[in-house]
Amino acid sequence: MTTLTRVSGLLLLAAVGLRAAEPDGGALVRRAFEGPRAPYQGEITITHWSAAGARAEEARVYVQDRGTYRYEYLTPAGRVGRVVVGAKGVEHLLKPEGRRARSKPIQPALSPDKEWTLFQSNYRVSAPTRDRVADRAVWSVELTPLTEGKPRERWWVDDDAGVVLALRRYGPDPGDASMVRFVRFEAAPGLNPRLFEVAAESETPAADAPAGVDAPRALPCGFVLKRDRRFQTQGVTVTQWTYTDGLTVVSFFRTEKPVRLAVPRGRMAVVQEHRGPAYFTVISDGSEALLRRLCAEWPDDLRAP
Amino acid sequence: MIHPPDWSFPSAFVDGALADDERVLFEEHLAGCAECRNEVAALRSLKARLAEAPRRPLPAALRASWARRSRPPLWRRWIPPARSPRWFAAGLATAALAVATAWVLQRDVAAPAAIDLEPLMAAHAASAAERPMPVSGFYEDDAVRWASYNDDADSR
Repeated sequence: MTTLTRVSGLLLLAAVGLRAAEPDGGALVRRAFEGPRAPYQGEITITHWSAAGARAEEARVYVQDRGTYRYEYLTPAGRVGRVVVGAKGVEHLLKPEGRRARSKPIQPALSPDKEWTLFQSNYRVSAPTRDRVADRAVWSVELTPLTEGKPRERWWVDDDAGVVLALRRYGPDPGDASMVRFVRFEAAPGLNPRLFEVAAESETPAADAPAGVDAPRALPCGFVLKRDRRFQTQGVTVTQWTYTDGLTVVSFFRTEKPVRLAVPRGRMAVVQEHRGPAYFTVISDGSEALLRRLCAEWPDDLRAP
Repeated sequence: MIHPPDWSFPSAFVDGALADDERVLFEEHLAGCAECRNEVAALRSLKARLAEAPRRPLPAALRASWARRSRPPLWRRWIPPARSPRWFAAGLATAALAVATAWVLQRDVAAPAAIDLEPLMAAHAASAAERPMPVSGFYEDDAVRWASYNDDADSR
């Protein structure tokens, strides 16, 4: 065996070894869907770009598990502003200037398995590449929708922690993008339980009422019905149907009054149609063309089940 | 010389039918306009000759027939004749504006008042935030975020 053959063999083995060490992109994403494996804390920056300009915010994050968390949003001066606490199936929003809190139930979403199945049928995951976020080694993957008009994303996943350390979402409009990124991240096995406690004066959240009418279980472009609910606003009953394709969410709202659309919507696309006695307003960060395509499949008449 | 835009002025002036401001304006114009002075003189001369013409009584049947024909229609009793095309145009525009206003008011009464979009945006954002790393929920405007809680507090 010549020296050249030996060197070639070693290089080949090294390449195979490196390839074997590279995780499967799909498996990485699936682990992130399942939630964190251990408690952690850190600090994140949130940036959003749109035609209106760029906005940025900072927050401290404490996460015990998927449903137990505390986000402390910081003011420009670096002090704690509003605080969001999720615990025991309820999310509380604490006003910075006072102790009064608002609360709402944390709705049970689709199971991670169901969400993962949906995601797989609607998105393609690129081969992972190495990168670093918050001074930690991460894998970066691109999530590309199989249907035009949906946002695409890039995730930077900490495989050990099962946490997405950075996420960039690119809207259908090239001027729209969002970035959430940890600037500090550390495992925190001994998080103080008091972080997730809220003063008893916060209101008891009311449970959502079901919509009371049948809506399509599935829509084109891979969307399936995730939830329906009914709530009151401005003296009007609003029925909301939420659809997801595993990553992008679309909401259909039914009202008996029209909705005033001439307001800044950020990166959101909003479409409104008047059918019979009702107005349907559709909201998503997908493209307007996508929403119109979904609207075309929406039935004119919704009957009680 | 620039003549008044309304060429009925000389005739109306001779008949004493101009408004005060129009009469003053036309008199100022006459001082420098020989053409209009001639026109006014001719009209006055004609008027004088007509006044001097012998008068004979009309046959009673013809007088009664003319009286019937010259009676103004019902709408004319309510809407006086326009004094000039300019006034007629102004009247027409006012009437059109009144009709348009009435139509808009009637439409607003018939159509239900619109509601604000923000609570719907907030409800959508709350749904979209349920993700491995929420994007929407992290940086929504405070107003929108609060609205989502307010609405849920109103849920029934």
